[in-house]
Amino acid sequence: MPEKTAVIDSYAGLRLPDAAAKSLPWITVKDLLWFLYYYPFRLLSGRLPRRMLYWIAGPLFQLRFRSQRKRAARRMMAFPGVGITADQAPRIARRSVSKFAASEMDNLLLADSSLDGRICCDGIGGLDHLEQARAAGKGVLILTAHFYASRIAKRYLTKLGYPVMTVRVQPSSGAMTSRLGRRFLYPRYAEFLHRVFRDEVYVHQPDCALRILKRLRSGGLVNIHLDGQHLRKAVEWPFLGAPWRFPAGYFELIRASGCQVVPMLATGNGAGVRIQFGEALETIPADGSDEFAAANLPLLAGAIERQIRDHPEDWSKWIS
Amino acid sequence: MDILNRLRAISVESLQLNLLEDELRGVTRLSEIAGVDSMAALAFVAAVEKEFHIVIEPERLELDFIEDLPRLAAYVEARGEARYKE
Repeated sequence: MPEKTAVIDSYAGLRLPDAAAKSLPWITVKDLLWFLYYYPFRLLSGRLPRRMLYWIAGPLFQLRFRSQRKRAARRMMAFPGVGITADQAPRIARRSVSKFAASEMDNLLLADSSLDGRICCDGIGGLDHLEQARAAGKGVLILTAHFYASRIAKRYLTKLGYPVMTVRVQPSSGAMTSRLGRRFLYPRYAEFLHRVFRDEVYVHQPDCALRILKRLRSGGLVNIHLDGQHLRKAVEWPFLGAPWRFPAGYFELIRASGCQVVPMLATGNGAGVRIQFGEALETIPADGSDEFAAANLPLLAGAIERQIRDHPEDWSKWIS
Repeated sequence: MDILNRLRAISVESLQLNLLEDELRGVTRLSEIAGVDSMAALAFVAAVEKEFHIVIEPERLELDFIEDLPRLAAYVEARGEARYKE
């Protein structure tokens, strides 16, 4: 299939050099776990009830990601703006790992289009805000933070007739820690992620901004994670009480397209996702791109800060 | 200045290149004078639209088309929006 080939080719540039790969072991426990995830768990995902999958995966993830969980609790203390106390942090970190487990199980659901009908929604609010923004005719940038339920929410929205393009960073083959992992698992990992997202554009692609602009000008919907990584130019601004670098390119896109920006909060999981749209943000016009970013960053960052403060365990950046 | 030359001049300004007018003669693709990454392409599109008072249609927002200066010049001309600033 041409689509599959294109995805694997586009990942080629992110593969580590052979010299680096030769010093790796043939197989590691981590890559064995990846293998179990892609194959036995994937087979189970279509047969078992969602909640049972979460129940199985939860303790396994708590064990596997125990060091990340401890790091997450420490990280929470580094962001005083979230308002998490030292007593609360380990509990929130534990809940965050459980949600991480559920989102990884949901990825298995998302990767198989025949299972789309099994995504359940517990409630969707503010759809009128999205409709109003879309009616303006210049496209809508759906603003989110990295929340575990965002992927499942976007698939549900697609089912409802609101297809959303996702802007994302490609993972490198460094995620795999063995030779076998890089040679055998990595291409499958890339293909798997493509099936999870389907409608996506990678930030490193030279035509990334044009593809986003094209979608917006066609009146479409594009999801950006404002708390994501940047490649070229960043704008620094306090975020949750700590310094943070935000991608400047998104502001250029908003300025060039004149699109609406609508915050979306997604919580829950595939067994019951909850989606809430906020009112479109009133961006402040400015002449230059730097001035536009400076004028509007507090507005956009503030919108996702509120979401993280209200739902700290749903923010995946503690763990990843 | 004809549209093609104006596009060349816009590319230098929007991509912040240190090039003289002489060095732009005969340039037909943006990639001949600069590495065009995602944001550079966007900056160039925004500058072209501002200069010629046009909005490039979504179906034309392809890197291959945007980079091809003679094709882009023909498109701008066909839109009938080009206004010379002497």
